[in-house]
Amino acid sequence: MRRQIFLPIAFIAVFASCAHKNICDHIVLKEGRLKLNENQRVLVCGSDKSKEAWREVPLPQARYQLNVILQNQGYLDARFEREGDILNVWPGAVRKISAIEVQGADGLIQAGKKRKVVGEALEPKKLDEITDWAKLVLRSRGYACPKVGVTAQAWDGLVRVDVETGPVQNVSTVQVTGLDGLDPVTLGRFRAFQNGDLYDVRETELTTSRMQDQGLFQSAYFITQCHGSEVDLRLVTSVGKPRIFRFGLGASTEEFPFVDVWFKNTRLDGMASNLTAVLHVSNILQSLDAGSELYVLPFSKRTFLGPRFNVSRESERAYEVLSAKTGADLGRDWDLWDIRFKGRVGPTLNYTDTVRGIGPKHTSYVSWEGSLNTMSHVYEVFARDQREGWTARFNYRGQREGVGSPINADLYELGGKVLWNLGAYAPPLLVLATRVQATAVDSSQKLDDVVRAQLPVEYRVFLGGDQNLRGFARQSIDNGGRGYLTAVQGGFELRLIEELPYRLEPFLLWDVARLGDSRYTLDKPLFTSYGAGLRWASPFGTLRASGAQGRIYRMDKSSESYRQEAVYFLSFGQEF
Amino acid sequence: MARARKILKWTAVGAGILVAVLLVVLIAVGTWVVLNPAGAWRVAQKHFLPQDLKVAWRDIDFEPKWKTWTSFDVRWSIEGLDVQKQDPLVSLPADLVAVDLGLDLFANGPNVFIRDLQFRASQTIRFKPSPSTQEAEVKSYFQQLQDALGLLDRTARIAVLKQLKVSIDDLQILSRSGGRPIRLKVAAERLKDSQQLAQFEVSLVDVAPPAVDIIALKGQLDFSQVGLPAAFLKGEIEIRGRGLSVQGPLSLRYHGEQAKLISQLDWTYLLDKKPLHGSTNLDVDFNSRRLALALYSDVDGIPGPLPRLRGARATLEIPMQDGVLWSEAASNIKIWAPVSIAPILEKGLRRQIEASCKCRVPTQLNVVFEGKAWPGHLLQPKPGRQVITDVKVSIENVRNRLFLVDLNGTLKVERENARWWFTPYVDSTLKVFSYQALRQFIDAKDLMIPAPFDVLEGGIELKASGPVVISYKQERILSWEFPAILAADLRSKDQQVKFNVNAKILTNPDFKKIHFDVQAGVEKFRIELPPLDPLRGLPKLARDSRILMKPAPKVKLKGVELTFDIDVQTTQPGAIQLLYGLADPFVPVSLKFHSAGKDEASGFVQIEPFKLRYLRRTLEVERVRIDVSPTEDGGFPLQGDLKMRQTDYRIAITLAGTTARPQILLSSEPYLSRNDIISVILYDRTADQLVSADAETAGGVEAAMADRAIGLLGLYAFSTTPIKNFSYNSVTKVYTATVQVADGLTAGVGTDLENAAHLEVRKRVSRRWVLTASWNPSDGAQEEAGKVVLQWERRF
Repeated sequence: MRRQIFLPIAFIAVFASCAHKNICDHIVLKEGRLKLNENQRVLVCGSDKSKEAWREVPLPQARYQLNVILQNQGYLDARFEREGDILNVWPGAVRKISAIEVQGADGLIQAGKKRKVVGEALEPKKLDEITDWAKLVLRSRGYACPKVGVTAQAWDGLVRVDVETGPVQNVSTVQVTGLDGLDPVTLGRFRAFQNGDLYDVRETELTTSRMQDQGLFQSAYFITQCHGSEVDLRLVTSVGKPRIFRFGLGASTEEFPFVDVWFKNTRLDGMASNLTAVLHVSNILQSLDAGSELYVLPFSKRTFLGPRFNVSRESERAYEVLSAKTGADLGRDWDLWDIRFKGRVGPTLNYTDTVRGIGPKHTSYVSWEGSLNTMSHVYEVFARDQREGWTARFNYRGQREGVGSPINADLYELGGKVLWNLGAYAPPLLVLATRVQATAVDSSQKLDDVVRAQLPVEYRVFLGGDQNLRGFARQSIDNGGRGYLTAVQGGFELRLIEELPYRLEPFLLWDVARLGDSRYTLDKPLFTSYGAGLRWASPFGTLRASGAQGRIYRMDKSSESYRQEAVYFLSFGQEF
Repeated sequence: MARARKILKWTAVGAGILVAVLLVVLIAVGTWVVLNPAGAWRVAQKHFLPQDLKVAWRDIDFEPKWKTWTSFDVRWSIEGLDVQKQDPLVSLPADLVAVDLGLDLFANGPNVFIRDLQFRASQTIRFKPSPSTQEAEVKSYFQQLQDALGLLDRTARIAVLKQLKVSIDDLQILSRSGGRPIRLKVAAERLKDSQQLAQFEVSLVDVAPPAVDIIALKGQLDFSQVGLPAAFLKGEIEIRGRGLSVQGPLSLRYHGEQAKLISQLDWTYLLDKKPLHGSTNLDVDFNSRRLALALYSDVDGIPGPLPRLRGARATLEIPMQDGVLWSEAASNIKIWAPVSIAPILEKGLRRQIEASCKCRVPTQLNVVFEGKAWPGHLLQPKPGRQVITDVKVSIENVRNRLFLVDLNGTLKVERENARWWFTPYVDSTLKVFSYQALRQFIDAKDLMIPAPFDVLEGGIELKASGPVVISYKQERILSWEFPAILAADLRSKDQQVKFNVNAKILTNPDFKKIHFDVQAGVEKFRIELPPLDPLRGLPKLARDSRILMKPAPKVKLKGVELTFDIDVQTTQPGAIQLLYGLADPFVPVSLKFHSAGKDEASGFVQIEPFKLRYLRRTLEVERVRIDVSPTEDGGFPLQGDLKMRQTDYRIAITLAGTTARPQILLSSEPYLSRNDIISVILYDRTADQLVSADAETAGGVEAAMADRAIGLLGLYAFSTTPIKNFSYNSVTKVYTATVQVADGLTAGVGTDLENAAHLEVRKRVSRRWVLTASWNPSDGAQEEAGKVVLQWERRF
């Protein structure tokens, strides 16, 4: 009966004003938009899934529930009018947050640095965001168990953050469970902090992330217990079965398709020595990589011996190379001053056959390879967001005539990347990213054409592409296929964060490079790229699109063949 | 004989001489008194009057005038008279007492008549009677009235006044018991042109700061009408003070051994600064057998939903008996007040109810106040406990198909000396035969009866029957205690609500503090829960209390203070049955709860055994008990046992800790580690059989459970739902999960992609084949790269 009366009324009500929308049969939204999820709809409109009691919801109840929903979306002045069996809803204007006021944090939390809050709708989600932000700031500064209370004043939009920091706390003890026979010393490789350090939640998270990334641990997490100025941590781990075998078919931005067969033994012994072997087959690269990290050295439990073997066929635009390598490194990963260090050094026996392009044919030689990578903890924690921190690396590779090599050659690479969160906002407003890399190839011999032809491809520098000069095609700055011996390049990117919808981040880019055909010499031409791009941090990885104009200043003969044009890149999973 | 004659002669001579001497002395004394009244008064005060009587005056004038030997006039005036006596207390300062009287020993009419009498007192006159030492003749009030009227009649006949003028500004009659004095202001004047008419004005004044209360009567007294059918007294009465203002004409007649008082009073009473207006006709019949009082009133301005009262009537019949002040027979009192309910039921609502009950809803109800009273017990108390009044209040019954309203109450008041007993008794029933009609009624008022209760039908009975217990402290009423019983039996197709509530309502005398002592027994509470999808999360049911809508008032207004003492329990285990699509057959709940104020609560809520079935999984809930005793963390103690049968394992989930910080203890048969148990719950396989991505998921769930990011609801969702992937960020305490809703369909739970540190979108193709799109941050040496891989994995 109720429906019989109400349907014609609803029909008239709907067509009386085209702007009105029916939230459900008997509730009309007179202005604005409101989307209910399935469960909200049940509580407001009822559900056909109900046996009887929830098929229809009484209008006063629907009004109450709608009011709750609207208030949770910032509509704090919703108005309702009932006309018989019809409920008209005017959500009104969204109340906005006008300011944040922090009390009790003694200057640790600067309200002015919190973005995306002032001017936003005054809704519980934002209050949660402010709470999480305040807690994160405090838990990153030694306050392991802060109490944060947030209230908002609807009448003036002021959000008050009341903080009880408690005392600054240092890590007292770390208890570990679930190692399943592993030597506790192995955890030292992953730990980003030491006992006695100031508590920092980012470092505990970093530690568990590292542990799980290796595949050794299936789960790892810390339980925090505060007492006075100390905090006890309990690390609960679960070690998985050691051998992992994977077979995969896939595609990436460079290769389509590819097949991966992957094997890893994460626990060769109680020190968690490991072995990894990967067979990769694609149209560009066919390779078999095998490597191990063996913690067997008598003088150190943190330093490993890393035997490795690689055989591959790589077919790029400028060259096609068959190669095989075997060698062994001494390596160590450690943390100091909130920096992650990773060092490797060791000899390699190489075999190279350049099938196409400039390079040695059927060459075997011994090379020394070493690298030192450093990364600030901040960079490591927020690596995906690319918002702050820095990385630096130094690589060396060398081979000596007579030691299985026809030539002397040394490659030095020094590079780094710094990300600045301009203004230190949270989330950042502008991130200025800079990267610098210098590469030098040296030889005690005269690097004439004969010697150059014998240089393996690793000793030749190619630029172009979205990892260095974005105004030029991938590895198109190739010096006629010979590659360069010296290169200095820099890149800058200014990225605007969270100002566009859908987490789209536009950026401006500028790259610059100079290269040299001779060792330690930079030629006159100055290669630059300038343009703009768009970054989308999608749920499955970063998608970047950029368009850049390549420009060469002070051109000479060596650069005449390069095309100065606009180049467009679309990449997946790559960052600046 | 001669001797006798001689003796007689001398006796006569002696008597003549004695009479002559006496006459001379009398004349001499009289002359001396007339010529020297002050000296005569001093002599009299010294030798003849009581010692505690002091009389003084400023000026006295006595002027006798002989008209004949048998008649003379006296003019006597005293100025500044002051009479003081200790016992009985008399303090009589008078400005002027003047009498002009005549005496005629052989007059045909009255022998003594007062031509002129003036009495003027501007200062306070006080009287306090002495305790009577002898039994006075007791007369009924009617007899006293008759005596007064007889005196009036005799006075009119005996002393025919030509002029009377009495003016007393403040006459205080002090009580023997020392209470507040009766204060009168009296003015009376005999009209010069009439022998039988007099004007008078009497004011009963009570000066009690800040209000000045006054009862004033002024009018004319016609002596000629005493005993005739016409009124002998016509006047205006006025009563003012303490917010009450009454005025109106009044007439009194006395004829045929019966007195009749008629008055029409208009009155105003300020109730909470709002005026209450009334018009009352008063009719009093008074004879030797009874005093019958009848009132007929209209009242306007009543606060609340009934602003007007029309035609309220009251009768009071007090039996009279000659020779006693108050008869032992009971007085009858009865008040009828027709109360209009039109303001409560507006037209539309009335139509709705009448349509529902197929009846006529009355426009007004008679409220009847009826009973007996013993005014003698009140005003002339005797030793022992005596009943003052015993009355019954009832509201006219309304009964139809929809509801029954039967409201009755009695009040018995008793007294022994200064101690009083009040014995109220309520006997009222409010019965709703159709809950649906009640729902429509409430719905039309735009009030909420929420789902699922809105589809129920049945009856509700609210009954208050029993004595109202009154507690005293130092003979002051401390509290009233009302009994009440609420019983409901409501049903719909699948639901049933049946419970009994016994309540005692305690209130202090001014109803500013009301305490409810409630005992509820739930026989059956079978209701349907909303068909919410557990994967969509529980919508918020209340506004976020962190958002303050208005500033807290600086001074908190104090209204009626309500407190509760509540006992609720199910009469049998599982009497509460929550119907939910996933619960098999329903969620049975037992309850025992006691609350005595905000911070005092005890009892428990216990979920009895049932099964949850969702997406081909079954969770057996053996018992979950929450003790209702708040803990320091703001939660409640929790105990629970749940069981799952997954492949070859029987997993026991034991809940402990508090609702705010639940501890989830996992065990299995045969034994598995915690990590393996979670793997089995999520994937039906132990951790060593998982692909690494699934192992990460299981690890993430474990971490989130340990960090209490997943609470009881999360555990419920995850234990009943196959999880596709899960990641947990302990920095932000945010978890991201994708669960399989149906084959090939996934949904996000607690998704916060922004904060997830590592992300993969995975699609399980088969038991071991997984399609992943992943991104891992660079470790510096390698380029960051993204890829999409269809991957098979085995861990061993």
